[in-house]
Amino acid sequence: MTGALTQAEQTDVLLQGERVCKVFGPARARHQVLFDVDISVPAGQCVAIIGASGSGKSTLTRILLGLETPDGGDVRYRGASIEGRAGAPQLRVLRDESGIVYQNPFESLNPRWTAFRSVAEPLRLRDRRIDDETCERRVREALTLVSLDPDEIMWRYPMDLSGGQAQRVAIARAIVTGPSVLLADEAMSAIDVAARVQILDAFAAIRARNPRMAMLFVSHDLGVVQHIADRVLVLHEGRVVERGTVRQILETPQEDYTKALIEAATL
Amino acid sequence: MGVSVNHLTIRIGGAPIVSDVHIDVRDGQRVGLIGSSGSGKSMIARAMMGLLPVEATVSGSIDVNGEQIVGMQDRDLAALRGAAISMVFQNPGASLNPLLTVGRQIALPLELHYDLANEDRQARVLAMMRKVGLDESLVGRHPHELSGGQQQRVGIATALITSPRLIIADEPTTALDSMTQRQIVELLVSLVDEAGAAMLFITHDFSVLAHATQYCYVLDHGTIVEQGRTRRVLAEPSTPQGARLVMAARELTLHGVEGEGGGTRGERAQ
Amino acid sequence: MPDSPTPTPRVRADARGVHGRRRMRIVLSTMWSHGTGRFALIVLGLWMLISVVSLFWTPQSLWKTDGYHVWAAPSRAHWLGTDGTGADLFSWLMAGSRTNLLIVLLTVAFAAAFGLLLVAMMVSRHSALAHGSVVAIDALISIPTVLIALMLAVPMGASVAVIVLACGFGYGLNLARVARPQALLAAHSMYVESALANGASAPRVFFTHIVPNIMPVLIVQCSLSAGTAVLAEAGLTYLGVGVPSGVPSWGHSLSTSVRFINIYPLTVLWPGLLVTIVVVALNLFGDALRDASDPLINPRLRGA
Repeated sequence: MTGALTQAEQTDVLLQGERVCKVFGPARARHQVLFDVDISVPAGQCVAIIGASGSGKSTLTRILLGLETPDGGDVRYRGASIEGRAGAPQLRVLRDESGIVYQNPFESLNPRWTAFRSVAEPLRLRDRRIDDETCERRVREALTLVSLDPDEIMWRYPMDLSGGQAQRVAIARAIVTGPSVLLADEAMSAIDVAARVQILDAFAAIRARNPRMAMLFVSHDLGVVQHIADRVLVLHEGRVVERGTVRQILETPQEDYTKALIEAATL
Repeated sequence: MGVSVNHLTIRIGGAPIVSDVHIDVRDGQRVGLIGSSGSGKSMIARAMMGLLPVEATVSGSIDVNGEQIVGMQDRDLAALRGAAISMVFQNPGASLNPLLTVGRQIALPLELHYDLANEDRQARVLAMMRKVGLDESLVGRHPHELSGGQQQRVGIATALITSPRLIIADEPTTALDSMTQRQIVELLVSLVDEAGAAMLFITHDFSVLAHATQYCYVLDHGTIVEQGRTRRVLAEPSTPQGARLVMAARELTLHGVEGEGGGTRGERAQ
Repeated sequence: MPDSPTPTPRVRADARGVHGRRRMRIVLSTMWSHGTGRFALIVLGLWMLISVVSLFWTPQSLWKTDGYHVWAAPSRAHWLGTDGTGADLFSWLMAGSRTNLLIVLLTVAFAAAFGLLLVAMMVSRHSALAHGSVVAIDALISIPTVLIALMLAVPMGASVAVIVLACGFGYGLNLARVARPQALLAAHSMYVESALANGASAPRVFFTHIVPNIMPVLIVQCSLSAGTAVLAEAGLTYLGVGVPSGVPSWGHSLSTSVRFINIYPLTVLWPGLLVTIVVVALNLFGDALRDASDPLINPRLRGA
């Protein structure tokens, strides 16, 4: 298949899903959303999973990060399975070393918490005895990295932030612990187009700061993906229809579905 | 005919949210209203429907097909809403009544405004469903059984079934994925043109506007900062606010990918 | 690049999260600035003050009865007149206020603790526990509080504990059922998922994420419970299962005089009026406290 990983990348795979299947619903109304999906996320790369709503892309990423269990197949982090009872320790490692950015910041930030408290939460959960000074320093670093002024933002509540600001606070929360894997699940689609550029800038800055970090970027929009992804995986009705580098997908799409996605993202 | 907004100012609790806005939409014209969130664009849409919150104070005039909306009695407004003016909402999942079937939902404006025989109404509903690309077999389904795109088609069918002269589309594609967005925009454009109606299309996304409208107004902090033919504004915006929106749209579409290459963003951020 | 506009007042530079004493001051001064909140604060403040004073001083001794001046009209010696034993009504109401305060505080504390425990069960991620507790609450909520009190009084006799346990139990059930939708919303939110993914324990999620987000409902339910507890005290004492005879309480003052309402209406009017004012104040207090203490409603708590 085109776009297969090079030898070097293969040895560098951080997160890997093999023949991942997922079925929803009771026995009578079974609805399979993922069919034998293979995916590899090497360290330092951004893999975009793209498809229309209902393609199963969110489910796939949630399984990869251990937030849901697959009905078939295996997920490995740093070479060890995270599934089942035997995978529990490795799942904890993955949880410890990953961060998630959700679609809508106003749903993913506690409305009754200040931005500071939200960003500091992962720090406090990982180290119960962290002192206030270290905590504040690291929160400030994270906010600065996503181009927010800590003094202006830290003590505000989400309702006093714009969509772009709130989403960058959510991003700061996801990266404050310096994760090895960052998942952005439709992190742009609830945000104003003008503010999306800021979100993209924030992700770019984070990747520049932490070049070994692997990133999973879920989107329905190739226009967004072109700026951030190294590889693209096109998902359609639970199956991978095409995969490759961004350039391959954009310049020489093979499938009609991919071509339709490109057409939809063209001005 | 059409709609003409003059000197429209809307205040809620002292501070003006919209100030001195002029908008003209003539019959058969598709006009865009673009601005980032908080710029007041939804307020203007609500003012046109007479649906502003009670604490809002409105001055200026909104003239719809020769009738003055500002200061109109609620009873008279109700007669206009859904008949002369219709609205397509942002979130079809939330704007459809979850208890009504697709058929009942689409028939609702007909029941409210026209006295039709049951069979006649049913025939019109089915015809409308075909027009918006919904299979007739969906007539008995409930909103939660439909995809986002299908739900929005129901929303459009409901808005258009009474053949209104003005359609206000308030971010109708924002909640949809990019492929469905394109389909919905094309559907709206073809139906509005076919009916010869006027449309005011509200969005924050220039790439959507480019396909949906011929003329557009750029709104920023409640005032119109720029207006002109959509093509012209998109090609050479004359204000910083317009330029910002256009730049974001260019950057986030595949328009310039061959010329600029994919690496520009990373460099910019550093 | 300029950001999209935010329609908000700027946060003061020193607004390092509004905590502790500063938060308390803001909440109280916000309540004070509204008429209803001020009324509630004054009434409840007086109530507490009088309760404390009554421990040391009342105008007349509670036990000084006077067979020649029963059912006396208000006078200089007896500000609100005397009851059927000739004891000073004002002194009895003063002393009763501390009993009622104790009952209200204990009932609300018990109801809130019990209610929160039930909420925690209902939003638990163990579906059997969650479903079971919903069914159990719906079944238990159908038992009248009075019936529970009567049953408790069999082994315990008339006592303050009967009122506190019966009311606390009933109001706790109510509180849990009313708070459930809000709690579920928070429990299924993305911020809770994010906390769990970061390794937060279930109790930590409950107390740091869910409780703050059901606080508005909780406050209103507690103030409602407090008001109802005052009324319940009167009712249960009248039935003979509440405050034992000889212990001063508003319900006691009411129940000893209510049989003579046709002849001496004033002796019923005073405790009745007192109970009404306090119940109204408690309900207004809840509304005012909810509005003043919720950062989403009170911009001063957000540092504006």
